[in-house]
Amino acid sequence: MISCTEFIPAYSEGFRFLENKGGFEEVKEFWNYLADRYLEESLRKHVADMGLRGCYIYWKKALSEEAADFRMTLDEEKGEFRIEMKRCPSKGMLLEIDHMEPYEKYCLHCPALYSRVLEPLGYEYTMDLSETDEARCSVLVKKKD
Amino acid sequence: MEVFERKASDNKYLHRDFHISMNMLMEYICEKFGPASLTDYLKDFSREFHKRRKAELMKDRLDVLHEYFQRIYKEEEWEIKITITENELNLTQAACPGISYIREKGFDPIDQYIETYTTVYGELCEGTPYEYIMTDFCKETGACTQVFRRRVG
Repeated sequence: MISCTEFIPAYSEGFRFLENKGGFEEVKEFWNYLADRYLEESLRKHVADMGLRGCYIYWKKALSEEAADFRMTLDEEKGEFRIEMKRCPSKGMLLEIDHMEPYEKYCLHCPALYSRVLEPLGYEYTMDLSETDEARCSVLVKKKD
Repeated sequence: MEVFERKASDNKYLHRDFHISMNMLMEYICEKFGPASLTDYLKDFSREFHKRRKAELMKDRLDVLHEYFQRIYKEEEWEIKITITENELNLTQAACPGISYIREKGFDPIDQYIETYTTVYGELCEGTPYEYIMTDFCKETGACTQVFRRRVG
């Protein structure tokens, strides 16, 4: 069994396996595959039905279940949703497992997955990845002009 | 403006949707590269992830696997019967937490789902004094009995 609590290292190794098979393009193709299936009934549906509030609802559940250390803000008047990730549970776990090397582009799966869902719905997803080596990042989702 | 803030210690780490993502990753590898590649991937994962447990098993520390399985099933909040003797570790479950959750959410586990057991733990035992035996695996529920047994001879 691969427990859901062990999924992150399996995910990281999966990305590495795909890159060895077909380069980074193969990894990106998988992220598209996952976004189209996995996020269809969750994030995409929430945002299609409720706009930015759908982001708030989706990530409130997901990040709570992942025991993340984070702060989210929803400003519907400004048309902005933000996540300040103080300790990403996934990257944090990968950094803690000292006998495994995290896949070096691991954190790129977030913008790849979420942009693919949110852009066609009229939102821009941007992410600051400059501190991911310390398991920190930030996300801004806003309505396209 | 609405604000929602949580610390890691406010919640338990249990995001069962990861079972669905895992199934999709395996499905993708199977569809794109064939079932043999899925086996290769799971062996790679096992070698990396269980590296330390394998080293302990080489030193005859079956108790390390016992503690490991007790911990992960507790974290999964899943019932399992685990017994250990000098030569054998037995695990019996009425259903698999991954298969159960994947089905509950309306997806189908891949045909090769059993390999998350057989390939992962078979690789863990490779080259150690123990062998891994899976019996009576039910594809529908994941009910099964698993045995880590000291090799004879």
